[in-house]
Amino acid sequence: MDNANKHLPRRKRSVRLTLALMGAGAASTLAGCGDSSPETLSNVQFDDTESYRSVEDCVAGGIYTRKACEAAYDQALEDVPHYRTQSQCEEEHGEDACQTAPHTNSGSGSWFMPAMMGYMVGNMTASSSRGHMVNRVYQEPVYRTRDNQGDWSAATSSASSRMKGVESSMRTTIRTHNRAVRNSSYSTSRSGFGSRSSARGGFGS
Amino acid sequence: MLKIPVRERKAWKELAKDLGFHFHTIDGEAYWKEEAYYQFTLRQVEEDIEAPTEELHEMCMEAVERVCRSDALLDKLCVPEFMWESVRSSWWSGQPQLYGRMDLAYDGKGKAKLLELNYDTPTSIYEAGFFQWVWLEQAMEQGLIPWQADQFNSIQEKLIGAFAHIGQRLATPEMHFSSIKDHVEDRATVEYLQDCAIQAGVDAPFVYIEDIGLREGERHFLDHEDKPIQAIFKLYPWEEMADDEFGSQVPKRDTHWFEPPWKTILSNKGILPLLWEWNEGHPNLLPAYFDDDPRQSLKSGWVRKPFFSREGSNIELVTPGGERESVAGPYTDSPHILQAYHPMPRFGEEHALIGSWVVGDRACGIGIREDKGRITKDTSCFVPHIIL
Repeated sequence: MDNANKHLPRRKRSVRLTLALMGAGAASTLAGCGDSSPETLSNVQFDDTESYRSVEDCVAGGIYTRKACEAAYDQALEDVPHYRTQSQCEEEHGEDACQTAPHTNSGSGSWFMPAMMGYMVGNMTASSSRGHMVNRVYQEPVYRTRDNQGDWSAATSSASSRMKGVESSMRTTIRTHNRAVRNSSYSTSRSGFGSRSSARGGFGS
Repeated sequence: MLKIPVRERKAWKELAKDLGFHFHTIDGEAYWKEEAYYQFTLRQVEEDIEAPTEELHEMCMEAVERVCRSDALLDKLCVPEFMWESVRSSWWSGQPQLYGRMDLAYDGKGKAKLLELNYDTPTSIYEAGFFQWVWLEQAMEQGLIPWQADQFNSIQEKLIGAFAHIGQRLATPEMHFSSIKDHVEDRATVEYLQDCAIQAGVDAPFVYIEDIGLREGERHFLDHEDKPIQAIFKLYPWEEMADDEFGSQVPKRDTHWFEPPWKTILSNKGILPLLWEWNEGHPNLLPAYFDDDPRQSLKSGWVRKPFFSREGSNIELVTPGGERESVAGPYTDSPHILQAYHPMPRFGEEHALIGSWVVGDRACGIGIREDKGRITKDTSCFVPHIIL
């Protein structure tokens, strides 16, 4: 006899459940366990990138809301390389290039970073590994370096090449992934399924 | 089996919204109801529902085998001839199924009776598998129901297991998911299944049924971005697919479909007379026959159902007492069956129907739907249950 299990209540239900895709936030607190797989993006595309010298400049541009401008700025700030000492920072980016980093989420104590000049903001679309389309604001900081010496157009051009780097590295992984998609002289026909759907409403039963 | 009134959880509608349950109210009418729950004993669940569900499921698998061996039966069930090869090869190669739901009439005392199988495009799985479970956990925590309550519900756990199993059998762990456009409930059901697939490590992109593409020279169907579809879950019935323009291409392309083509045999009410013929007198089956003349008026104590119909549409019944009930609908283009009338239990104004879920080949949970009428429709309500 299996006495070890004797006093355990027999359960007909699962011990814990969670959702990965539908309204994720609430679910993980409810069920006490997080997503099982990290979200990965493919087919990444950046469009309509604009460069701004400040949050106010971004708001004045009229494309993004103040909230989006501020959020993108904060994130861009985070993405600037940070250093523990002024000299480490200057070694990398040149004399007088660095300043004390404003209070960010990157930990306690003071940090140093090359001077923030502005940021680039664009639209990113991508396919998520969770099966849906992702459409979000993407940003890239514009900051002073040894090469650009604080010149705006040089700084924005290096920021935009960083963005292109991200875009193409994320695309490369996809291209190998989707090798089966070939150029073809034939066109795709659609609407071959679902012809009577409007007449019958849903198909669940 | 009791129906017990209970206080609703505070702010459950906000929670439902947060959890992606947007159809808890449909056209202003409540669909999810938690002002009462059904209570079963463990014996009722295990002996009267779980075990019979697995036994009936086993009988269904035997029936598929018999139908696959017979051209005459495939023909009788209106499976178009161009699909026979796909149906048979998907069955004989052991292509796994994902899930199915049996609708049972059960009152807590007698034998549960199989009213019908929803084995191709069943819905209400999110409410049964997830939201009902959340209700139980919260209602116990908030002291609304006894703390030692349980529920017959490992549906989601089994779904994730089934997707993991299917994922291992695919060349790459990716399965597309699909439903028709402009239907919130179908879309939400599919989103939930995508959610389970992702939790099982299977990539789960979505494509609308209408956007599935075909291209000369491609071995697979294509999604909206022209990517080949290796495997796809469709919340769209086989009999409709077979009738559609692309239907004849299904046997010619390498795309794997879920549910597999052999499920067309079980999503057809013509299976009910066959199950009765091959298992006559089985305590969980109702007498059923092919209806040779559907124009004849229905006799007392019988129910007439079309081969293909969903959500109670085009069903007609006359009780032994002569009361007549029917639901109109669009499913007028298929043969009919007759099934002996069996009363569903009534609690107050409502008739309760038990949906017993099978995932893989295991009975793993129930969901209860209520309707004022004797025919359960898409406007019926979902009510949670407990075991105590």
